[in-house]
Amino acid sequence: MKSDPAPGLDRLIEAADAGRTVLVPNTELAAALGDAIERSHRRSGREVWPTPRIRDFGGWLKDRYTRAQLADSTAARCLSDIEERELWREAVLAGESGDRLLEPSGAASAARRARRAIQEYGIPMAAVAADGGEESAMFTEWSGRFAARCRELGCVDAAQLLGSADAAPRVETERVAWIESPLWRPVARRWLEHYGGAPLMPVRAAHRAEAPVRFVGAQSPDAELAAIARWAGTRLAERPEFRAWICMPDLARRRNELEDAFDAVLVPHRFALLEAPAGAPYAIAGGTPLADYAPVRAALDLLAAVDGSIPFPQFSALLRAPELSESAAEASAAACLDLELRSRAPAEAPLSQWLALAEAVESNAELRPTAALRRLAAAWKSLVELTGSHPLSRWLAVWIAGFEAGPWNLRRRWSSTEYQSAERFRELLGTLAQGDACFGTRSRAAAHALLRRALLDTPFQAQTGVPPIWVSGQWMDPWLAYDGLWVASCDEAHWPAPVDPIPLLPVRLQRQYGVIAAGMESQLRFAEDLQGRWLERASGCVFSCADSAEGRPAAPSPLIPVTVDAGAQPAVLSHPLWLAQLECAPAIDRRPDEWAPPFGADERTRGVATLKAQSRCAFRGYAETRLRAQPLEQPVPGFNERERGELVHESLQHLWAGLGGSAGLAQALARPEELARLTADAVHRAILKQAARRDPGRRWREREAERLAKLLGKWLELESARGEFDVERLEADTETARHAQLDFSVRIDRIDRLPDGSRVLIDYKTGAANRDWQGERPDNPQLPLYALLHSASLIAVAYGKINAAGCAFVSESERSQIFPGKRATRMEGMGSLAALLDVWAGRIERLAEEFRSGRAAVDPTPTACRTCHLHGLCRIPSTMDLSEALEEPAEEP
Amino acid sequence: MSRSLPRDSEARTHAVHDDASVLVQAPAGSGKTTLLTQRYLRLLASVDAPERILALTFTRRAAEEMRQRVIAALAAAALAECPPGFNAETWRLAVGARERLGTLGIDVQRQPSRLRIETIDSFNFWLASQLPIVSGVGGRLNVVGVARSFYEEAARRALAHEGTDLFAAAVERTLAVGDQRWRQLVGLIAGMLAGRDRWLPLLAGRLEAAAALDAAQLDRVREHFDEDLALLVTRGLQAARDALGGEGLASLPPLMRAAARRLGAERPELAAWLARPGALAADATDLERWRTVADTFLTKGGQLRKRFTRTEGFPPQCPERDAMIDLSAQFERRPGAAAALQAVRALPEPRYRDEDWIRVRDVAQVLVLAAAELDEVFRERATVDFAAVSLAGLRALGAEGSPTDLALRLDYRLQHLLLDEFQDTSGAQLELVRMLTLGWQRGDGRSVFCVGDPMQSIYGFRQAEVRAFLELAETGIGDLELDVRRLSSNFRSSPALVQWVNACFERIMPQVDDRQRGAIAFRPSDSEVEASFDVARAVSLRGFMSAAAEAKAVAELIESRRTEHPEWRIAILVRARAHARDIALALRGRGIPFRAVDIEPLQDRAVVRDLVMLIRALIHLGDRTAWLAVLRAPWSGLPLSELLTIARSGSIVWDSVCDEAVLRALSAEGAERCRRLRKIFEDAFRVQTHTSLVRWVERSWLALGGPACATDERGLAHVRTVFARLRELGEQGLPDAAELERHFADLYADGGAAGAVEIMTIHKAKGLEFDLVVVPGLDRHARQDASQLLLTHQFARTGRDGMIMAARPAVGAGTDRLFEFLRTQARDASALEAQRLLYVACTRAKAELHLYAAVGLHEDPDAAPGENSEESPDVRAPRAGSLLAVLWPTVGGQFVIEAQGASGNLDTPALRGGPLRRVPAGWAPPPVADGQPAVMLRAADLREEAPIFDWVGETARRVGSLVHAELQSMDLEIHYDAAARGPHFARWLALNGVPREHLREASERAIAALIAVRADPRGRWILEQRHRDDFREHAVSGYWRGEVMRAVFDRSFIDEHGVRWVIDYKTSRHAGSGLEEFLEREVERYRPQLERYAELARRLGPEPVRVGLYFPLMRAWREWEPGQS
Ligand code: SF4
Repeated sequence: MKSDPAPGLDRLIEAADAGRTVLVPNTELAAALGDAIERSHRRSGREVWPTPRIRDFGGWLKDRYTRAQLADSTAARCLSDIEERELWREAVLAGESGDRLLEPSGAASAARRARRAIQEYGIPMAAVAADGGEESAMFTEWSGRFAARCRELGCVDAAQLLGSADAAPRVETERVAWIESPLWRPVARRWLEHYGGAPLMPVRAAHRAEAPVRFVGAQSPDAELAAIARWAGTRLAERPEFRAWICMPDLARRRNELEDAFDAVLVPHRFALLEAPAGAPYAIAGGTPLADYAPVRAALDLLAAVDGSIPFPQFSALLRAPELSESAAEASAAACLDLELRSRAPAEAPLSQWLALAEAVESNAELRPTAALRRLAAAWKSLVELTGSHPLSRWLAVWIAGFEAGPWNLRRRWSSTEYQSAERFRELLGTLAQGDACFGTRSRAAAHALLRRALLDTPFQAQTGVPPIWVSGQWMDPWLAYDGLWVASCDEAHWPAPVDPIPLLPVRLQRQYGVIAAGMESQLRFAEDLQGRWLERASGCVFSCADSAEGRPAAPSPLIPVTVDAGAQPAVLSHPLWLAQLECAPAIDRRPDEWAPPFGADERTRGVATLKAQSRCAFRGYAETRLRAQPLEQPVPGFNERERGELVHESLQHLWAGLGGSAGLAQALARPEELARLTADAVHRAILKQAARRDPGRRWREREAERLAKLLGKWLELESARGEFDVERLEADTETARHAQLDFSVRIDRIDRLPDGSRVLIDYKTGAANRDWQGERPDNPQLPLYALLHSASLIAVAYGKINAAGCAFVSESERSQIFPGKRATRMEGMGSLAALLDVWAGRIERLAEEFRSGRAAVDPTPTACRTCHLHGLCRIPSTMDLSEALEEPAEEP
Repeated sequence: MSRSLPRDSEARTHAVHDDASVLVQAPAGSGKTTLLTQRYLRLLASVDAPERILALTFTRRAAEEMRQRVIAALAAAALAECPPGFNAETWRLAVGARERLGTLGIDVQRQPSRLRIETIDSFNFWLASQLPIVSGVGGRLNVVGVARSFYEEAARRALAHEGTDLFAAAVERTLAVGDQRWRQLVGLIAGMLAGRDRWLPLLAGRLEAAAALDAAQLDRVREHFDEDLALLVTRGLQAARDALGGEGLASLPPLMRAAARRLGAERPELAAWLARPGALAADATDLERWRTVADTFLTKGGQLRKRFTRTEGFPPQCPERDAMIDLSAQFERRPGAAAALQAVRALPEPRYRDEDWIRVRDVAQVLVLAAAELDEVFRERATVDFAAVSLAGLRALGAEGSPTDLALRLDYRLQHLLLDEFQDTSGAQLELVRMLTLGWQRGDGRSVFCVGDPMQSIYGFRQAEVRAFLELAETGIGDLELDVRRLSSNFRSSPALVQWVNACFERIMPQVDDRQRGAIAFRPSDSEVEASFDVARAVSLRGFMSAAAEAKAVAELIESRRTEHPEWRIAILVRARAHARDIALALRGRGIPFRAVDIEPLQDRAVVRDLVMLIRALIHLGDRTAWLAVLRAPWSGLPLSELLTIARSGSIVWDSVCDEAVLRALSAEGAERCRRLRKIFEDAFRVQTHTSLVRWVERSWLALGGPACATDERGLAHVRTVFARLRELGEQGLPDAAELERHFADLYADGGAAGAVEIMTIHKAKGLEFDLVVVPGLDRHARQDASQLLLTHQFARTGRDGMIMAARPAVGAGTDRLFEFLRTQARDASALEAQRLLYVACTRAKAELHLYAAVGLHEDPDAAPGENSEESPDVRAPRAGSLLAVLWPTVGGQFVIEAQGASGNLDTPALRGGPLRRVPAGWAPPPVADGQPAVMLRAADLREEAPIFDWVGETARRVGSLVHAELQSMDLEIHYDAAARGPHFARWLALNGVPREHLREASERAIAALIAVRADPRGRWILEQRHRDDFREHAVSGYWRGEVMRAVFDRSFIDEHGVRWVIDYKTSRHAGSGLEEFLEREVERYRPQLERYAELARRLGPEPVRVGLYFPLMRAWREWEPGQS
């Protein structure tokens, strides 16, 4: 393409000064051109000038139409973006296949895009309808439905304005000019050629002929971004008036990473824990969904919680939301309440119930008052004031009251960006309010869903102006001349772009009517033309591409002139700020730290759990007991594993209290109804007790009762196969075991006395049960500990494994047949249980002493870490991290 | 160096040049990609557009490689001669392709995207996005790689389903069968959802997840299942018949009848022989009699009986006893007879029992429900997983009866399809191929080219269908038959190695292909490599008495070879990640650098672990473990004693850190460290909502000095991976703090120096080659999926795919024949796959292969805590499921057993904690930027504005806009009937969102204002037409204090006194008393704005400037001379 030899910018300024509205294909160019004019005025020292009117064609048409409406209010109203989207959605969902689509909103956008394309390219709808394909048939159907709804509402959509631009009355006072660009669609171009005269030709960069072109092949996508940022940063530092245009075609996907890379170089303050500076020397086209900004997200989270039941994590997040707590102290109160709730909460409940439960727990547990809870309750109250179906304008008022009472209550803490996003939200609510006719009445949930969609679909960006570095997400001619121009992602797979026709429209028609992306040849021509333009636009042009993150090499696009200087390959650049910190890292101090102070008189052990942990790993014993490092609980539907264990224990306690021993059991088994009644009663009492602490709801109580009754039946069957015994002791009270001068409180499940006076100690296990009491460092020293407390006449100890997968005794016994089918065990070669008890006593004493003395070395048994949650705290080294030497810790004296 | 023509050159020529469709079996090292490239180039020379050829691969790397090879070949074809080192055949084919493209005027080198060489996933994605409606997708897909949290959410929702419908009942029963173990069920269902593209189409009709299964549908499904089950049983019996031989079977009936008569009620099942006295039929209806045969001839242990007794119905001296013994001996002589009878024993009933069926039905319902819930979850989050893309791709191709015509839809006519790694094809992918080639016929100018090596099929866990390869060879795709070509040349491994592999695997792997079992026969290769390697060293097999001894030996071997051959690429290939740990420790012990590829969980790295703890602490103030960890991490480094002081002072660690009294109880240094931390967290909490979660965490981490605590740049790269995952999690909805860590568990470190020894899984090594390969830990077994909710078994049958399913029996219930049967099938399949896995491992080696095992373990390092029994430390027989068990029967004798280390006195690698590491006292990271940021926010004034939104304000705003607009066009000279414009106003206001109840009042207010303005002398003065510089809505700009200032003057003119007026309309309203005060406030509010305007206005000319505020709704006016507040 040939550009105007006369300096294009002068022509543009001339047109603007003459009061012409300059029409451009998109808002990005509008902003850039406006800025260029202003900078030019500044350079030439002008003090004042008419504000240039540079508009994107679509927006201008819409404004023009709205203005004309003031004069003629009978003209159909132009739909807002949200209304259009919703009407399309409606049209899609009303169709037969609509609700089967994975993403009906996506289909609606596709249809909307197709309709716009039809207008932009002048494709006759009849030709689409005649295509015969399923996609076009569906589109035709939706389109018809959409158009009918528009007629019904007396509205037009933006695409129609474009199609009927010729027919629309021109505002006489307004004269237009337009810029030459490959982005114009045929219909707009024809209109512009007709009404706007000759286009303003693009600006050429100064040293075009010698323009150095560079290519950069980066080793990863991150490295590519880092290279661009460094390039921009260096140039800007050398020459503050440097201006660059960067084209990043996959911007939508890489936006976050791009921001990270650019901020690190150009606005490092944004990585400090300071209030962020508002300005930056770069801007990125487009925006991110409004719904992503904190005030909006918090508002949406609140609304989402009002619809139906919500799971605990959702309530927890809401309660602890930063928007609801004014200070760290308030946040800490909310966290405290959350911790209490975790052991008492059902898996899910409606917000009203959550609030009531939280209030009850707060007062019962005598916690600090939780300001967040008050705010949340107030917000909830406002939001549920209105019930039934209403127009959106009514819901709006309720929402606002809810937000004001809840997440927006502390809005004085908002940053500038947050405030701006809330402002945009306000505008959007205003737009929604205009749509009552279009949206009709909606239930609360439907209104919430609509709002959510609207907020997700509305991009937002805090005001930035046009800074020196502009990042565009489109392949386009920037029209203006820049000092530097960088086109990223120029690998052979993406440049020229592969064919990408507009969905829903027949490809054949698209090609016929000039949709560039629909044809191979047109894509190639477009790319070649555009690349030529780029080279003319900047005095320095860089093309780049990057190997994939997984290391697949990328080949540069064949369109990049072979003569370009390949440039230095940028090294893999991690985040420059991170690197900077790493480079000036201090020498790390190392000191032995395996001993905590000896166990204090005012400290308490956790009973057998302490010894169990200590045995597996001294650090674990220390951390779990003395630091009280416990995992966060998480409410699950139904009873959790621990509760199920407690239920079995509790039920069996009731049962054996009634049965008394093998004789009682035999009698009961002979009268099944009686046994069933006894069991049901025991189960019922156990469940009642458990549910008083945490009630998972009726259904789960019933399910558990049924399960438990079956399970106990199985267990009793096994017990009935034993010889005679009397239950001598049931887990009623806690006892204290004393070792190494420490007290361990324990609850022994059961001791049976056999006819010969010997005793058997049984501990129920509802999970896996194995012989984990063996060895110098037993996984679980529970049975030894219990046995030592009641060693008199003890001839066997056992776990009673009670679970649906199977009931069994896992025992250590000096006689055979104490438990059905079980022989005497090896007892670690000790010959008698009494002798084994002596060994156990030594082990327990040693463990207890180790714990008492404060030994907290990280020295796990080979399997201990697999079931431990403390990896992050103990900092056990990695096997494979070669950068950290495996050091033997020096033992402290 | 290779000789000029490989031994299998004929097969290669056919594979490349045949017009027909071809299936190529290309074993390890046979140059598969070269062949694919050649075929592609050959086809390129025959089509009218490159898009007519579609080449599909499994991995992006493979697609990339093939594309590069094609492009390189086309580039080379521009040269007059084949460049040195370039494959001459490839070059020749490329010349042809280049010429053809040139004739067509197509320059693919300028537009390589015209070469459709892509992965199956991306092809599916393309299909679905091009055909959003038929594919059922709707819009553009946002595909996530890790969707586990979505599956779990869907499973949770499905299990929470209540109501009175079929689903609810199914959920209830499934929970009961699963012992109400909710968490486990969620895990099982979630696990199945990942592979739903395999079972969903079969369960819920064609590809519709959301459809409930109604009773009629269920009946139909059961009918199918019954048919398939019967067919499968029949096939089992047929196999038994073939194995036992017709002759022997023919002599059975009288013998069995005799036993039946003799035993009568003792073995009632034998009565079937009396009721049906004839010959055994290899038919499901005769299963009962077959079972009695199996029970009669087999011992409990599954051996053929040598003796028969009364128990079997043949007491001593009975006339049939000798015949039975003879018959048994006859069976014994037939290979596979005992196994066949064993298989008969395991056969399930040929029809679903009601209770089995109910369980299958329930689980099916729950799974379909979960799949529907998953769709809903995807809809809410606007994302999908790869399975959804695969299902969508299939839908896009249409139903079988009415396939979508891609040519019609997309103007896309496909002529040739090439498929790489065909052995890894899943059922869904196979279906895709079938749909793409529907209607293709031999000789119609269209072709399919599949290449792969079924001997390397090791992705059963990813639903790869190894049977597909055999099916394709036997029956083709649709109506299309494929010519099978087998390559045998190996360009990778030395002759000695190839010979060993041939000899060994010939005996390990099946002799013949078996479609039913998915058994692949071994086919030997010929090495085309000239023997420059040390033959004696080619293969070594060693057994050790402990894992430690084994690890030590591996390290020694590698150390010596690295000295001898520093240029060698050496790999240690393990079956499961956990197996690499001991070896890594041993290598470290000797200072051998290694690179563990995707072996080590990222969270094992200190820098990552500290960061994850920080994230947990930041997102939950009450996460005690995380907070303590943050205090102990190097950036703070509190020792145990000080942690204790803090931990004991309150339940929320953060509160204690904030409590000066607590800090005073610490050492001075400890307190200082805490204060620094506190300040950082206070700052962090203050700006928490200002940026995204990820940025917030990063800022906090930087402030703490996180990067400075990393040991090297690799560590920072790992941190980057964590941040990327955190971003994903944030976008998907951050999980509860209690769950967070789990969401990083599938990330693995990839670290180590280039040129180091590589440690990787055998799966990861597929497609790679190394000079030396060590496969240690052969004795270890891979953990199998212990429990599955639903087992499926698919098989070929005429007319449609056969399939049966069995649901897991209730927890604790006895075994279930059908379920066990399917489990056996699955076990058989994985045993076969283990053989192939070993084959893959062995064929990675070029020069040396070392196979190591610990054969005398004291304890099982894979066992769960306490699982180890009290077994004595003898040499063990290989465990079932281990690779050693695969090798042992064949080459067990070749293992050299090293007795060293039997006593366990070798250092068993054990990990211990190191010293406390921490930054020096008083250290703080350098600030990320100097000084204060240049431009601070100016939100303070905005923040005070309240409330955000109210109706009165909104309506007033619209009335204001209306009046504003009317004033701009109002001409005093022209008659203006404001009242008559009432309906127009009302409509305009309504269009612009004024609620109906406010319409009348609002429109009246506008009318009143406009009438009043015209009547108001001040209003008339403002609107009057002047001659000089008379503007309405005049937009001007200028620079002021370094920034562009823009203004729109509502009204501006030069009056008769030569004063330039700048007037702004304000549509504020004030009711009641205090109007003056209100107006004064308004003036103050707008003064800065008007002052700026005046600044611009002064530059328009030399005239003095005055500014005014006009309030049309109140007819109030305020004016002043700017610059004089
Ligand atoms: S993870 Fe292992 S080393 Fe760390 S505390 Fe737990 S058991 Fe000990």
